[in-house]
Amino acid sequence: MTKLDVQVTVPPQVFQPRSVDSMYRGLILGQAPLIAWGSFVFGARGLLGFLIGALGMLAADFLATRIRNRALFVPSQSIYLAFCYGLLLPPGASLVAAFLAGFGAALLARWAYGSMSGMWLHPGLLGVVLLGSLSVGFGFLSPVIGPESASWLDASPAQQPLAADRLSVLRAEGLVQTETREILRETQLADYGFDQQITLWLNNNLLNPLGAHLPGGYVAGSTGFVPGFFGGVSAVLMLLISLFLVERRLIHSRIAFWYLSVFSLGIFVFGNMRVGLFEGDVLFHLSFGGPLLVAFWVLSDLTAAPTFKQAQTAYAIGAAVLTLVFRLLGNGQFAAIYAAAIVILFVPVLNRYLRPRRYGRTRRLEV
Amino acid sequence: MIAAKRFRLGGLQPHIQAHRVPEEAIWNATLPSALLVPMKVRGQRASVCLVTPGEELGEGMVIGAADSKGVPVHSPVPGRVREIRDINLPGNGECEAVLIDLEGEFERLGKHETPQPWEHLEAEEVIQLLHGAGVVELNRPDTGFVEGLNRVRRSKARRIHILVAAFDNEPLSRTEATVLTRFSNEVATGIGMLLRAIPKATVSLGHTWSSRRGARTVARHLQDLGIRTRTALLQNLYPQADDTQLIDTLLGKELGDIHSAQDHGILCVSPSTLFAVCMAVKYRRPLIERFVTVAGNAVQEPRVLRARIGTNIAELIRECGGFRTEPAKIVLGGSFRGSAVYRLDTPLNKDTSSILVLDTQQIHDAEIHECMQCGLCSQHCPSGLEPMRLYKFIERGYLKHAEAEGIEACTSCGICSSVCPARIPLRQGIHLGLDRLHD
Repeated sequence: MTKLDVQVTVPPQVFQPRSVDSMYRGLILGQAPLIAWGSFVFGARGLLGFLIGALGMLAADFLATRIRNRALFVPSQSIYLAFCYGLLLPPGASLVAAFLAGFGAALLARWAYGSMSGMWLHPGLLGVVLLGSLSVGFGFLSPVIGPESASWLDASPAQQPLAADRLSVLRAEGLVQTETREILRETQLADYGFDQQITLWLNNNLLNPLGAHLPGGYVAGSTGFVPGFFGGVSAVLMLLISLFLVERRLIHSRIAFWYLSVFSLGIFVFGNMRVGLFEGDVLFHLSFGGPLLVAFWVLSDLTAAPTFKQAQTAYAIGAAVLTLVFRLLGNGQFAAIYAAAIVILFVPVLNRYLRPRRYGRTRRLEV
Repeated sequence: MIAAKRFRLGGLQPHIQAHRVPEEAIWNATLPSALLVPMKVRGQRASVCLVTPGEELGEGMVIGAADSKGVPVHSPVPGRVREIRDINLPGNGECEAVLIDLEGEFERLGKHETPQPWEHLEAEEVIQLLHGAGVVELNRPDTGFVEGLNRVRRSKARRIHILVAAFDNEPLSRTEATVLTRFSNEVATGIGMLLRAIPKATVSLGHTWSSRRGARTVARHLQDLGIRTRTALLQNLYPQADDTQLIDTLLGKELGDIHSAQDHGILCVSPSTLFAVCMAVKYRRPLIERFVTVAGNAVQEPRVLRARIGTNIAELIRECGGFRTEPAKIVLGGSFRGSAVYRLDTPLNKDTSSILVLDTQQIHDAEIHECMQCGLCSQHCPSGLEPMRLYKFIERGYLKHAEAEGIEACTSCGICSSVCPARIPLRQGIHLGLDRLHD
């Protein structure tokens, strides 16, 4: 037999194991525990908001590919991005607003760039920004047509299943001029039975012998019994999933490292200026999972992030500094999201000017 | 613990390795009854066929003549010319080939060969012997070995360097590492002979962790010959053995033009080429055989074989026990730069460093998708280019933009296409752009 039925292709003849489908399947696998936990914490209403929001994004993506002949619908890619958007949703947001924002974000991504991930702006993030815009619309319209009529635009999480009075403390006061432990006392997280038990165990067996002590409320806060985004409440879960994402190289771990390091350092130094420098409560700010969600699922997304090491480092540090500013001087809840949304706009600029010198070239690019 | 050096940018740790190829063992391939000897080596001008059908040949007789830009071709076996035919060589295009039926007595095989003195040869004599023996750079024949040697001699560089890549560039190949270990004396002698041609050259030997023993033995032999050598431990990254990356790692230099290494007085050479140099000068033996790795999941017993040029790959695969499973691809030359073939009667040529018999599990093929802007191609590009950006420029006809972005610096290593999750044919696109630019 001289001729064989084999593939005859141009070089290279082998590929690395990662493909588009395998990467997105891995990412969806990483999202699954966050979705499950969000459903547990926020209940059926939270899950419904997540699903409706994701459905809006998926529907727009599907329709856009039907209208534009050249576009390719990649189910795993679209589902992953729709789930990203759903995870970033405030659980009590209006279902109509969530659907519309997701739909609009997907249309903008497809229309502007030709594919869901062809654009550098994270579609999930774009969806949350549009949702925020709708909330602004609610603010304008409700005095005119009444809050009931304008309620479909309300994207605020006021109706989320946890007791509204706990949430209102955080929303009303933010984190400015507030001792973090007072918040924990007010939110009564330390009253949770499992928080008391685990805190006691940790203190007795690990921390007290080392001269440290963990106050009540942090365990409950880290595991997710706090207000926040649907998928971003459990810091412990996100840290565990981050190991999976890093091991599978589904995210840029450098970005997450720099972002969390600079953010933590900044919080430590400036986090409690009422008392003084170096009095910040890093554990508290990381426990309330916004920065972790943004670090592992938004900023370090392979598509959204810059390509090169220097650019990635600058991007992560920039995002961390912005998050610090927003957290310490403004409303702490959306600090990480807003910081990410702003810094992602600079990705093409960072890619252009913070790139490694080509072989045999001087630093200046000749065009 | 010595830190292994690496080149500045990009690179790839291949996911497939030559685990199943036995280390430091070489098998002599059985001589076939007929051999098909091509008149062309990749990157060289085709030789002019000097023989006619029916003609009797001796072992090592010149059957293809070449000028200074080509290499002569020799008969690998004694025999008779059955026919001259046109063949299509993968990655080489069409060329003539001589089909030789084995008959008659061998003049070299199995006979004692008297070593010729070489220590007092002049530079011109060494180069003449190498050209006459048809020696090429066996790992990268398109770089033109004898021509390159002449360019190094003519270069006005203050320092001349001989850089030895004492490891295999492509994954799944163990040719260089095995030759280095089994024939370290010959490799060292080959370096000594090159120093007759370029006397003031400094010798640097780059090796990986797995080839360290062979490299140390070669260094000891060189010391016995009175030749000072610098050795360096390198990371096992593809494409570490490429000229640009080798020069960067061993010398800390970056060349603006990837084809100008020899004009800058730098000669990059592999162990199997040094072995051929030694055979050509010491025993006046032409290049009629080479070492080749036959590997891959679909072959029964992967091995490094010593085989005559012109042996067809079916014979070589049979030498390794035949197919283990249904092959999905048969590749000549390496997984990143090699060419796929579908004919088992394709002959072994001077530029075939390995024969890979791959199954679907090793290929990891997938559907082509749109670019997802993951940036993996740019991160791994050893030249610091942005392959996807170049690809898009070429797709839209912006050739000047592609030129400004440095498309000429592409070394066709194939990493960009290999790492692309969307399986976009980046390497081919960039090649197309280069062709259009040069038109």
